[in-house]
Amino acid sequence: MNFPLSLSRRTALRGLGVSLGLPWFESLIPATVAAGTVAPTPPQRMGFIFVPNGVHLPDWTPTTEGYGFELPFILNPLAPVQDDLLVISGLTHDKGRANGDGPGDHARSASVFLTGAQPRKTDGANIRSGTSVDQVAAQAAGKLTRFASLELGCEPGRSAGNCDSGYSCAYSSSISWSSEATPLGKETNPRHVFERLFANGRTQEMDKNKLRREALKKSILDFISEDAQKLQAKLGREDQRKLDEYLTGVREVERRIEITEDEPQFSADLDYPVPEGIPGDYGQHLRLMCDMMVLAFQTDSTRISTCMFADAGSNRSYRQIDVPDGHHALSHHRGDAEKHAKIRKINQFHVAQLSYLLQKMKATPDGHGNLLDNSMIVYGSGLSDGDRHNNENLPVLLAGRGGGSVDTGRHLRVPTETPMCNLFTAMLDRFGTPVDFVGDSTGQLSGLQI
Amino acid sequence: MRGLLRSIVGFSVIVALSLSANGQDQPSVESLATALKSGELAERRDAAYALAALGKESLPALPALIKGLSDRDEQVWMQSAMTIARIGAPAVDAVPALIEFVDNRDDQQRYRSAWAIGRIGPSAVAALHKALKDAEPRRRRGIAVAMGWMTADPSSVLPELEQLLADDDEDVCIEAARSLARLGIPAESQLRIALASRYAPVRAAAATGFSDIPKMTAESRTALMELTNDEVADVRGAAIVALAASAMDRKVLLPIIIGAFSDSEPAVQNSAVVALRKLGPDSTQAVPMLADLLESEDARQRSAAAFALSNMGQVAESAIPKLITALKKVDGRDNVSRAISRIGATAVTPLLAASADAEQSTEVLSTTLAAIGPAAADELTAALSHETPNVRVSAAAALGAMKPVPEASVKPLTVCLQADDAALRSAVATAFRHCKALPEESVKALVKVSSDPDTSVRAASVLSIATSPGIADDVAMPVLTAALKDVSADVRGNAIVGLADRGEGAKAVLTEIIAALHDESDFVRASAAGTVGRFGETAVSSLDALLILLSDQQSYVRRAAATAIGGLGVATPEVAMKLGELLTDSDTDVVLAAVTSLTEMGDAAASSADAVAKLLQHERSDIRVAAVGCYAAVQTDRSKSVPVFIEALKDHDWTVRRPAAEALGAMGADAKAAVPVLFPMLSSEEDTDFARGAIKDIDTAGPEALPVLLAGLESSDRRTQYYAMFLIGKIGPAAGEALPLLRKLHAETESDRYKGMIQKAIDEIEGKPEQP
Repeated sequence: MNFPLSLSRRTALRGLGVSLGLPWFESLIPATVAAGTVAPTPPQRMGFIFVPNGVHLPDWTPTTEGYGFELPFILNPLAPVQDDLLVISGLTHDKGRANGDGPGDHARSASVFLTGAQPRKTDGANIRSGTSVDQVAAQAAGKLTRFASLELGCEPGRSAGNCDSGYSCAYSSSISWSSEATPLGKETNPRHVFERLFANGRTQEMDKNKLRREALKKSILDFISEDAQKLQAKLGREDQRKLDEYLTGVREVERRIEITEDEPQFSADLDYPVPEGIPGDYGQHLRLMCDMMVLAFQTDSTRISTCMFADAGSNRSYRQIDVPDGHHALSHHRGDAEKHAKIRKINQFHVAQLSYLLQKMKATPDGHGNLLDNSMIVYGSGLSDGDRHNNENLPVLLAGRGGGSVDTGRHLRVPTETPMCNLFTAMLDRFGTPVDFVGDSTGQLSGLQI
Repeated sequence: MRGLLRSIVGFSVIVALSLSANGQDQPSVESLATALKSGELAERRDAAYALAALGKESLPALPALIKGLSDRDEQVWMQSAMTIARIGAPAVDAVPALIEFVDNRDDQQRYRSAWAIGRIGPSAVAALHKALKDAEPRRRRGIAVAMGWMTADPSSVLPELEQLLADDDEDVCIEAARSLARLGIPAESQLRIALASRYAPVRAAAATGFSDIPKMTAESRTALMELTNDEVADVRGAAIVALAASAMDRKVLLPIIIGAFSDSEPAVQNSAVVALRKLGPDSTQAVPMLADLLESEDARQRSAAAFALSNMGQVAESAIPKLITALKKVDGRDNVSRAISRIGATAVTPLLAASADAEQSTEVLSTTLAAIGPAAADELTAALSHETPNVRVSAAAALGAMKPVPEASVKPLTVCLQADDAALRSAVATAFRHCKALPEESVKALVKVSSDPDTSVRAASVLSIATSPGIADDVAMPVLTAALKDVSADVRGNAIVGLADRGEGAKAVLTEIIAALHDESDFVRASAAGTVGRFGETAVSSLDALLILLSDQQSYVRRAAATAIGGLGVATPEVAMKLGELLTDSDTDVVLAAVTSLTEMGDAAASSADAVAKLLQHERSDIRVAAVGCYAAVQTDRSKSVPVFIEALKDHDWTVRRPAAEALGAMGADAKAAVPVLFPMLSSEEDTDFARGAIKDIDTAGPEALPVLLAGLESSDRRTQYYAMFLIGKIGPAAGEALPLLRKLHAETESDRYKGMIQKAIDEIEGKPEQP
């Protein structure tokens, strides 16, 4: 395995209880490297974003293949990053189908999303799925970064009990599985992720330091200012500007979290109070989690992240876009035009948040390009149409150029029944962690490069 | 007793497997093989999953895995097939069993069995060869697909695939060509043969295969060159891409690729883009040629060149001057604009400079600049103080077109509101419509220019004040109320348009808005009609004025009035009659507005029913869709409406067929005459959902549906069969003709559920009471 140079472990700004990972600075490349002994390429990142209940496919699928496709209604918010997208039609998650197990499509759609494995129908402790693609990568490459992987989400979900027709809630609320029996819990509180990324020390110390910062009304940046000044002196002019932008960006995210914490926490979508630190506004919550993913990638704290925009079968309403109905209820539209109109608004809302993430990644310098250039972000659902509950022709897109290993700006149609896991094996190969198979893959998906 | 024993055995196996999961005990492959043959489904599944996890080590269980391929449970089947595939060559004994599934109705079983055979590799060839003899076309296709999976050692299947290229069945030939394409370099000579096939999909597949053979022979290259003129677009496109992947001389190749951009088929143009990408750095050689094409007299060539450049990004930088010149021509302007914006920030300065050219449209330049995105923001903001007035105006318009205006640009834009140049003040006032939030000083400046001496500035500021987020009614309403009396129709019209977005606040001036329905300006009349319609029943006093506007000389006024009337909640035959007169209007947008409003009137519009039915033949599909909805609302006589909707089910556009099906479904059993038309729609991907919904709602069928239902019983699609059976049962004794076929199916099926459904249909036909 030939992994790119890792600089982050040696280049963090430290202060009392704070360790602020740093982006990739050319000025800090050791002289031997700069002289060309080792190619100074930034690392690759992989992200996976899950949305529930499928999509309204006629408004998702571009009508033409190849380059120059017109973005359909749902994908329209992605116009600023269209050249960085590969929309893939035709992929299938066969193991999301009932295959003799009857109802429970939603639970299956989440558990199969990154595993490609048929979940055992049980609501007991004997759950079984498969190791997910992010964890396959994390187990191979996670040791290179502070965190092997980062699992994010916006709904807390439950890990036990029956959530869908006899399927354990673990299936509905987890897309990351470190083994066939171990779903990974996801972090839904932006503050917790922020602290995890930047605070230092043992858990109790971290809590104490956080309280101290809060009492002094100080930013995490105040504790590393001395170290930051020292670093500034070592950097070239361009990197000085980059550092400044980076610290401003971190402060901006921290400030937004603080504002969230100061606001009354009541979600208009869920009709119940949300825990401290979680924004009441769902869009704000999603964007903060996206910010966390960007910061984690930018600082090389991890190279692998997942995010569930909502849990499988989520029935959250979307009043912020004038859709007071529940998402899941709407997804069973039975061809009703009014419901179609609402469901595609929800689908577009999710995609707008993805666009926020991708634009932010694109605006984040990374090596000689940007963060999106060096990433592969999969966005999609384990169901195709929320009404038909089918698992073929899934709505999937791959964003980012994978360090030049993915030719984007296209709509790629693959033969029907091609396993979604073939995309994962192709990604793992590009990530530098090749495997023979993941889930039910039958090889690597061809066509990511022309 | 046997059941209890089975449970105990099952439990012990599960415990054993659970223990293995905890690492305390590994069940042997032999015990798993035994469990795979168990009568208990849970045991068989657990064993199948455990064997799959063992992969190649499962070889001793091969006989059981082969038996697993005849298991009725999909999961046991799937895990057995996947395990066999992972065992690979030593699993050759499984090939005959796998071949049985290569033509299966189930997509996954077909796909997986072919893949598993491919993983077994050359040792499977003898069995495949044997199976090909006397095989039906469907199986020959499946075998051809399986051979395409033998990428590790393809030589043994090449002769067989070459033979299949000459098969009598076109689909077999196509699959053979696709498989050869997958096999790549070793299959070059067979692929060359396929390039000369009489079947276009075969030629296309073969040409696609050459994309992975960069070092092809001169003979292959010549054959591909010929195919660049093939009559079928997919073939031409694939040939061009394959040639681009080869080491062909760029001087010869580039004109071919450039020529492909002028192809009439978008697929070929797209292939030309792919071909250019495949050239890598050599693609820059194409830029001057494409730039020259931008000056062509032929609009199609100009558009094609722009399309090509729009997909090249920064590489096309040297084409900027000619691209900017090409912006002056309307044809292909979108692609030109896209090409410039994708070049990025380096295009900003020349675009701004082009503002001085009187032939350039400020709007086109500004949208092109805006499309460059945030990378252009700093330079555009700086250009607000440029010495050339047109540059300043283009910069302001571009910042507005970025939607939202970058926050850092709002303050400099506010300063520009005090500039001497009215065009700049107007551009800024327009841009302010697209700010996320306007600071107080910007709002004050905007209010100030609402009394600007220049009409366009006033008109723009009024609209921005009305529609910008965060400007409260106490600030906005005095400005808008005053604007209603402005001497300029543009200002009055914009004020009224803006008031439509002010909600409750605008009700205070409703009387003035209704009065504006008599304004001398058609723009103001249309704006007033549009705004009045938003007030709903509150604006019912506007009805008389709106009815007059239905005869306005300007069609867009008639359209706005027709739409507004639909929103008033007035449903009288008199009003409906007036609207009905517009169903033959010369402007089709007016027709659409009228039919939409008539829908709101329900049976009050019954007199228009025949005229609405005629619209089902209209050339615009959105009008036909609206007509279906309208007819359902106004025609209460089902004996008349059912035949009309059945006719609409035959429309070539599914968006029309859908509301027709829904309308029929809403009538329930009264629409049973539609079943013979609805039922075949179940097998159409476009129609299946709403046809199913309608059939469910109708919930019955008459004897006239029997022929299509009998055909449905023999469908390969299980769902279609179910529906056919269900509806035949509903026909009852009159469906006696179906009994022999139903009994045959009953005898053949192994599925208890299916058997039960067939029996139910038989009982209904025979008039037997339903079983509890």
